[in-house]
Formats: sequence, structure tokens, C-alpha cells
Amino acid sequence: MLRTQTLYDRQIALFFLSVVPFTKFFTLPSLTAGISGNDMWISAILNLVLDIVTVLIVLSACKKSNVDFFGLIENIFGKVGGKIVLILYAIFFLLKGFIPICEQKDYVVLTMYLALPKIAMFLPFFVLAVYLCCKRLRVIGRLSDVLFIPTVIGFVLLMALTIPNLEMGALLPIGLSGAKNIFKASYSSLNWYGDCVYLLFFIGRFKREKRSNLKIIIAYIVAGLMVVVFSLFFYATFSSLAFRKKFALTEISKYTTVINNIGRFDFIAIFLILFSSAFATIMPIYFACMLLQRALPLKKHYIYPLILSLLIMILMFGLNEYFASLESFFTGIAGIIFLIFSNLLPIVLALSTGFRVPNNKRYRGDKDNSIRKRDGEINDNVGVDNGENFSIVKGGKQNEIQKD
Amino acid sequence: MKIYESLEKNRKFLTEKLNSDDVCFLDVLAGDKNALLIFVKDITDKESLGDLILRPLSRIEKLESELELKKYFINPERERLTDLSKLPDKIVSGTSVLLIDGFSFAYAFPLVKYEKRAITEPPTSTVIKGPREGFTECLPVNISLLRRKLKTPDLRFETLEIGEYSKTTVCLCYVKNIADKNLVKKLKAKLKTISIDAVFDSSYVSKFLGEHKTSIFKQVGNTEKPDVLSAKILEGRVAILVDGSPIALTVPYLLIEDFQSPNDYYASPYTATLARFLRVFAVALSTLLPAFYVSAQLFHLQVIPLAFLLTIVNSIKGIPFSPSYEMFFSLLIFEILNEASVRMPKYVGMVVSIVGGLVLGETAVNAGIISAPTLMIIALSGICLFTVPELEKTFGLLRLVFLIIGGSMGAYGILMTMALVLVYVVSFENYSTPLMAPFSPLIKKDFKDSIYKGFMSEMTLRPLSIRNANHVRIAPDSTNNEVNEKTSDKGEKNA
Repeated sequence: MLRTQTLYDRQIALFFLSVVPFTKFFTLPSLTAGISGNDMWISAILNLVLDIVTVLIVLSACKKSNVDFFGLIENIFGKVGGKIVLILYAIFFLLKGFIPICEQKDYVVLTMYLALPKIAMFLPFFVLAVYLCCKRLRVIGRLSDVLFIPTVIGFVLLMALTIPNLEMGALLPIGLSGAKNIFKASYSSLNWYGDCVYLLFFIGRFKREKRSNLKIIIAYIVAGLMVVVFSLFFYATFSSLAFRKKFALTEISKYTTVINNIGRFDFIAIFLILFSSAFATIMPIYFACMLLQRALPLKKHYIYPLILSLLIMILMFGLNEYFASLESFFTGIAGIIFLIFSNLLPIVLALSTGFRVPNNKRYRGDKDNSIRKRDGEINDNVGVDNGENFSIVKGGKQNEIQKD
Repeated sequence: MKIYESLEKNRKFLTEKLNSDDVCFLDVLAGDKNALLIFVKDITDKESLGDLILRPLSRIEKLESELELKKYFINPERERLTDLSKLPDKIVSGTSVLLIDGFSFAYAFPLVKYEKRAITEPPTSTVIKGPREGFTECLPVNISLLRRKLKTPDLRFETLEIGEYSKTTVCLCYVKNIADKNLVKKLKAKLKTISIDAVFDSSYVSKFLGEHKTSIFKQVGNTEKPDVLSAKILEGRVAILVDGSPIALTVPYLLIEDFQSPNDYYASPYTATLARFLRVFAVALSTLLPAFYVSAQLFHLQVIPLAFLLTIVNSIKGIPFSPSYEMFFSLLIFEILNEASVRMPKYVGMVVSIVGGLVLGETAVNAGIISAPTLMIIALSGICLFTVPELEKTFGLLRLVFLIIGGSMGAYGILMTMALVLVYVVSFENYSTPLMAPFSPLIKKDFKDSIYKGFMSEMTLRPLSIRNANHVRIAPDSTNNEVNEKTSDKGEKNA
């Protein structure tokens, strides 16, 4: 069976760089500031360390494996058990995506539309979600290739505008809030972190080159640093009032003198970040659709994106009044679910099969469109791969065949 | 259907098929035998007819075998035909056919002579430096222009006829050792499937070549310049020339192509890079500015600096339309003026620009129908889009979509529409080539000729975004003398 390696390590690295930071810039900073105060950045570091360790283990464990995520699940849990796990994972992704979508909706409706706060203004997000969820994983890789540009520009511009207002003294003394509050803040923000789980969908599907793991890890660390820097700047700007600033993104650069003089051109940065964050927020729905399509395949691939987007939309608008209770659930008891599915399970899955996969157990039944060789399907980097060898897994032996 | 030995039977068949006043049936003698020369009067070169057919015929004294005919008719383009049913098509396409009594074959002489335009500078891509010649409507002329640029036996032309009635000659052109074989094969197959009454221009063919019928983005590149086409062919593309059209098509197509002007290759790389950045910026500005302006006015007043806001407020006082209607109608008027200026005769065009641009614009502002900033934005947006004329229609359409979204949903709607367009173009492929390459997928080596224009000596490889059979454009030894010396040293040592 021909396995086209649909992605490149560079694309995965850029994917994390574009996706990891931006769901954490809306209400999370005020939430963690409310719990761990000036040590909120330490909480962020703790979460990021956990994620980076997960990425490191998954990458190292699956280094020699040709098996992808679905293969891993099937190998461990069997066909029926595997399907159940996939459905559970899909539910987890819906849970993971719900709060970030809600807060982005609130952000858009309440801060961007001052004159006319209408919920309908957020509907294009779901159109994008449905459209993107119908696309193959390779498109996500290609998107990452371009998405990191607005990500980096937006972030750097926003931070640069924030610098004049910083009062770094507000961050001192370090550790004032105590270890308990720092850990509590970390635990409460598990919903927003745990993006390392996305890595599961890339294993076995990207072309490993020299230092692939290093590239991905570095990208994740840089993305994590962006979150830490944002947390530091956020608290250094608002100090003890930080927990009140619900929409950190708009607030953080608002008081710069330059803006007072020539208008809010920081909105350029905010728009760029919103642009990237829309993709980041859609990712859980995307992977949920992918999982459901694999567990319970449907001929029309747009059905799941449509259903899930509608479901989230209805829940979001329906549960609008109960958002506070929902948030306390997601930052409380649900933290364990996020910890299990984002960190523990990927590590267990990778460790159990990744290092050494018996040949007879190697996954073979690949029916997914995204990795099936289709007529005219090409590998990314187009001409680069002309004549390159692609691996073929047949009877447990790895042969090399010429692509064309 | 074989040609009869009897001339009368052949004449009867052909008279029935070619019952038209412009077709001439000329009875002549070929030595002691009766012969019939058939040609279309208005498209045949009479001088050549006399020199190449009638004069040799008059010299024949006695005709016994085909060998004698070959002795007299030494025209290298002469063709021997045996299928009678093919003769009518040959004749109407300008071939003169000679039938001789007692011979079951015919000689065909392509003596076609159409009136053709001289080679001039193409109006769609004028250059300051560089070659000024452009393709014409005559396919042989276009082929000769290409042959003059690429004097290699690897340059291949493969012709086929498309069009049930027009029988237009379409020519596939590529360099054998560079173009991807599969692409050539695929294109040939696709061209053969085209079933249409007539092909009057290459754009007819391009509509059939696109793999996505509903796409608003271009899927086939085009050019009117032989130097540009030669360069594209050398990058691994396949060209399609159509008889009767001065525009050559190229496949595969990348979006970045249209941001590259022929001027860039004849100017300094610094100015070329700057020009390309300007083009990208101008197109982005043109597409998004009207939409963002309207959405800022309607939904996000906080984005507009106070001083500018006051100017806007003063200028929109008394305007009866909402900002979105105002912008929409202004854009509509601009598009109408644009369309009219293209269609109208040149001498009226000046009047249109004066009436449209000056009178209509200024009067509308003075009368309080349109605000001055709106008019300025429309003008700026219109001019910006013409920096890349090839994409004017596509981005003009997108501008309208963004404007409608911006006017109804504000900046977030625009951002999401931008995201949708991005997902669309990123996933878009034609002939297995991503539209957005080399940016998505990111192909670093191709950046040397993307928005950034590198030095010619740096571009040692053909674009990797396009599948081609030979990646090396400049042999390493011609650019890197040190490497060359080292390798030669090693060679000596090994020897």
C-alpha cells in the first residue's frame, strides 16, 4: 500500500507556531491573573512544559514508526474499541474547542462591534469552520506555511506597542502568590493548553528529515514563549487590575501614547491575530470531524463539519446565559479530562507502540482519503519530490518505490 | 474512401461537397492526361500556384508514371493524398489539390496566403527595456518567433485541429527534456476531448483546460510576448498556441506569475523586487480598502484616527446614502466607466474619461451625493488594481464580495472571508501544481523569483513549484569556478 507522506516537518513546526499562542490571548490571561496574580506567567510555563514534554515523548517514541494515529488506536484497542476511543476523542475535541470559540465570539461581539453588538456578526466563523473542516490534512500543512506570517507580525507589533506602558516591577516578587495558586492556575487553564494533542494526527504522515523533532520542539517552545511573553506584558501593564481585563487582546496596547496621538492602529495587529486565531480555534472542530469520519465514515464528507459546527453554534448561543457556570466547569473538574486526553493518553499511546512495532501488528488498513494515493495527488513541495522515493509498507517490509 | 482513377468521378464527388463560389475547379493538362486543380481563390497564393503547380504542369510532355510527376513537382511541402473524403477539408483550409486522370492519388500543395498583421508590440504588456515583438494571429509566424528564440532540437511543436467547423490548428509547444512528460500527455488528451463548433481565440481553449470549472481564479497562464513564452517554456511549462490568436496559453499556472512583469527580468533585481512588492501591496489595498473603509465607518469607528474621523464626518454631512451603498454605487459607476472606456472607440474614450472622471466625480461630490473620501478610495482602488491587469477581473470580483461583507458584517466578516479565500487558494491545484506555490507549500529555492527577484546568476534551478524533467537551469561549473577548479583537481588526482 502506497503511503504518501503528505506533510513536512516544517509545516508541523509552523502549524504549532501559528496555532498554539492565539487561543490563549483572550480571557485566559485575566483568569490566571485572578488566581496566581503576578505569577501567572509561571503557571503558563508549567502548562507549556507539560505540553512540550508530551510533544518530546510522542515525537521520540514514534520516530521509527510508520503507523499513524488511527493505526496506533486500532493496534491497541482493536477495531471496535478503536472506534469507541476515536469517538471519545472527538467528544474531547468538541469540549476543548467550545470555550475558546465562546470567548472569541464574546470578544468579537463585545469589543469589535461597539455600536451594534450582534451575535450574527460571528456567523462567518462557522462558515469558515465548515469549509476548512472539509479540507484534507495537507491543506492544514499548506495553511501553516502562510499563516505564521500574520501570526508573527501581529504578535510582534502588539508587543512592541505594549512596551512603553510596561511596569516590570509589578511582576516582583516572584512566587508571591504561592505554589498552590500557581498550580491551581495551571490546572484551571488546561482547557486552553494541551495543543500537543494535535501532534497525534501528524505522526506517520510527515516526511522525517534531519532534525525534524528538533524543529518541531523549537517551534513549540517559541510558540510557548509567545504565550509567556504575553502573560508577562499583560500583568506588567495592568498589575493588580489584570484580573478585571477580560479581553486582554484589545486592552493591552490601548494606552500607548502613539495610539492616543494617531488612532488605534494597534487594530492592525489585533486583526492579524484574530485572523490566525480563527484557524487556531477551528482546529478542535477539524480534528473532531476527522475522528468521526474515521470512526463512523460517511460518504458525504461535509456532513460532520456541518453537524458539528451547527451543534457548537446552537450550544454557544443557547448556553450563553450559563457561560459563567460552564466556564467554572471547564476550569474545574473538566481539567482532568483535558489532562488525560491531551497529555496522558498521547504519551501512553506513543510509548505503547511507538518505539518498536511488531511487523505483523503494523497498521495496514488505511482508508482515509487524506493519505490515500489519488489520481493526480502530489506531495507538497511539488517539483522537489520529483523522482524521490516513497516508502511502501507491504508484508512488514519496507521497500522503496519510485513515485511516478 | 479512396480516390478514383476516373477524374470525372472525383470531380463529381468534390463538386457536390464544395458547392461554393469561392472554390475554383481548374481544368488543366498534365502532359497527355486531363487534370483538375482545385483551390479556394481568396486564400491561395496565386504566384506560388503559378510557380509551383501550373508552370511544372506545362513542362510535362508525356505522363506515364508517378515518378515523372515527382520530377516536376519538387515543392518540399507537397503531400500525397489517397483519401478522397479528406480532400474537401484540405481544400477549404487553403491547400491546392491536383487530381490527374488515371491516377488514384492527389497532390496537395499548402499554398495558403492569409492577410496577416505585422509583428508589433503587444498592447497588454509593454516594456521599457527588452524585446518589443509580440505574437500575431498567424500560427506559423508565432512558431517562427519561438524558433528564433529557442534554437534547440528539443523544442517540440505538436499540432492538432479543434473545432467541428473552424478546424482551428492548435499547437502544443514544449522543450522535450524539460517539460514533464505526464503533463504533456495529459494536456494532449484534454485537448483531444474538446468538442466545440469553433475556436476563435485561445481563450476558448483555456476554458476547457481548467480543472475547476467554477473557479474565479485563473487556471491557465497567458502571454503575448515570445520572450516571455520562451522563458516559461524553459521553466518546464507547456505552451498552447492557437491559430488566429495572438495570446499563447501556458500550463501550469501559478498565481505569482501575474505579479511578475517582463520588465523585471530586464531591470535591476532591486527595482524588480520593489516593483513586485508594490504590485502585491497595490492589489491587496485595492481589494480590501473599500471594504475596510465602509466597515470602519459603520462598525468600528474606534479604528479611525480622530483627525481623519472629523474629516470624514464633515465630508459625509448631508450624503443621502449609507456608507456601504455609497461605496457600492461608486464602485458600480467606476466599473461602468471602465467597461465603457474599453469598448468605446478611442476618439470617444477621451470624452468618457473627462465626463466620467472629472465631470461626474466632481459634480457628484459638489452635489452631495458622494463624499470626497469615498471617491478618493474608489479611484485609488481602481488604479491599484491595474498594476496587475491580468488579475483585474478576479480581484475586482473579490473587491465587490469584500465590500458587501464589510458593509453587512464588518471587519470580522472581512477577516473570515479573507480566511475563506486563503483556504481556497491554498488548497487549489491545477495539473497537480498548487496555485499558491512557492508560498504554500513553501519552496524556499523558488523565492529567488517570487516577490523577491534574485540575481540571474543565483537562479541556478528551474522553479521547483512546477514539475519538470530537468531542474538545473545554470550548470554549476558556469557559476562556481572554485567548485569547478576543485572538481577538476580531484579528477586529475584520480586520474
